[in-house]
Amino acid sequence: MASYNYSYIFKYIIIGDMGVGKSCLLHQFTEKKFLPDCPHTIGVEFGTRIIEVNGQKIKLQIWDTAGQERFRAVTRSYYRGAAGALMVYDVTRRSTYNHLSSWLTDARNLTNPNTTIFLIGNKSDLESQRDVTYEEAKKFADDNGLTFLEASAKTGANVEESFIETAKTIFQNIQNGSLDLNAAESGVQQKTQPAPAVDLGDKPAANSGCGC
Amino acid sequence: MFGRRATKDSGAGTEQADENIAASKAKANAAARRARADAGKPVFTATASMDDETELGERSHKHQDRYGFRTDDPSSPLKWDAIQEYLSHQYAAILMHRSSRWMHIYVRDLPVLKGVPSDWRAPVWLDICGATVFRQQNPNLYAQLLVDSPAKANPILTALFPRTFTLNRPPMDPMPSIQKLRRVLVAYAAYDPEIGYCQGLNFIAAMLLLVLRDESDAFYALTQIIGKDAHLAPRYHVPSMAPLLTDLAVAEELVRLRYPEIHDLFVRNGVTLSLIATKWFICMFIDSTPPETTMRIWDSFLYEGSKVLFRVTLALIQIHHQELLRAKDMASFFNGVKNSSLAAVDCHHLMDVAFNKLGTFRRSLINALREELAAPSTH
Repeated sequence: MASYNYSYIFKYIIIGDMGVGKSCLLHQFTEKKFLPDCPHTIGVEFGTRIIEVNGQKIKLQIWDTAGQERFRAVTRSYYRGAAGALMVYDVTRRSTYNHLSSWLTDARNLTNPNTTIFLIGNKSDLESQRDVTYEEAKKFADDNGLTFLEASAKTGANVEESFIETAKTIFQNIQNGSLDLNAAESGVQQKTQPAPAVDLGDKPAANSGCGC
Repeated sequence: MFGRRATKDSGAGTEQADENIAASKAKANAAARRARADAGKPVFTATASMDDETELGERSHKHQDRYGFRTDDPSSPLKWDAIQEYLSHQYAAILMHRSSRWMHIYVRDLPVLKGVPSDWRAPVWLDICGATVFRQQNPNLYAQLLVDSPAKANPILTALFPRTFTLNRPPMDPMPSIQKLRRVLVAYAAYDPEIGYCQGLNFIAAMLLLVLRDESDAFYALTQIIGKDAHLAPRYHVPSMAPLLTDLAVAEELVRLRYPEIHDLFVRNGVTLSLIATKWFICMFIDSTPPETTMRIWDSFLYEGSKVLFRVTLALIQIHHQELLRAKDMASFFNGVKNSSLAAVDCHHLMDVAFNKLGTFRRSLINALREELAAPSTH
């Protein structure tokens, strides 16, 4: 623990209706495995993985939220300070797509203006049960300035891409200055120096304004 | 020891508490009488009373624990070896002692805080939560609700049933139990339209089915645990979740008062206890603790109500106090708190800390904090 083995921490949230596969996407991304009958998320779960973008090691801290409407009362407070929001619907259930505007409103209202919002149409492997076309969702994404991919937590298709593309966008925003690292709740933490020795009486400077 | 602990949430005053004690004792006595008299429902027999000693660990070679939970599921985060080891050695002696005293004490003093022997659980749980009486008053309610609300139920329910129980595969034969589970939840949603279906209720209903076996019993018990007139806990599952947010805030405040250094770590790491304790409270520790531990918590919870949830929460922090202070970053701190419940293998120790080592824990303090920290009920 002499030094961090990554340069940045990005905070992500995963949001969307229940049953769209949020936890399975997270599991596929962090464990590279599909978890069939993945358990309900009650409240919020958490996963991490270190990735590399432009030669920089970035630790993704991913908060996976419960999808049922009433749990937003609990999960809303974790939207704050997210650098990236993955908004998920199920391509085989139109209702989950129809609710996107409500999720988007929440995400826009509760995160900061520079939060990168990425739209994922999950369960793309279930082509025969498709209920939402790629073109329709792509138009929704374009109209709202979102990046969009269809993915499958089951096969793993486009799962890496979704998480990593989001990180690339955030990283670009840091480099071009549109994301201010010093701003409170930017959702990004920079690890420029070795971690201080553990001293619980002393607040480490690197953690101030942390978005974790 | 009995009187001090026996008040329910709705009864803040001592008079009310005494009434509750009297009512509970009456219920207990009635249960004991019925248990002895009801030969058609073998609740307690000389051989069955030894179940705790003979059954524990017996099924391990079949990769199931005594409740039917799979012990060989590679995706389970539980340390099954440690659980089996504990149950078959240390805990077996505790159970032996408990069984020898149980029959005799039950009628007199209802010592649920020490744990209810598994053969007694079904009738004792039904009695102490009030389901027995409620069922007598409403004998046809469950059947009628099923008639009135046939399979037009919430389609989401259908898809989600295989997703009950995360620590384990679904216990018992999957199909019959999933159908039972569905019926119980559909009937409950019809009985209590304000709550309807809330994620987490599937865990509670499944646990009730596991212990009570009979689906109508599971339904009647559910009405006493989360229903409109239930006295065991506030209405955590309503759409606003305001009662849940209030109790989570109370839990955080109790942590701040008792363990300020741990509270500091929550603040410094930018996380909150409620992030983790949402599941503890919504599911009342089902699926967050090893099965035997869940049973022990519920033995007490069904009698004492939500105060038990606060006690167990604080006990988990207390037990892992030193380890949490050593956490080197947000992730290890967060996971330390979260995994404290999964690691609660020694259920006897946990309950001892929760009910004895934590010391006095006034219901009036909880009620005052609830008033002070009440979350707005609009959403």
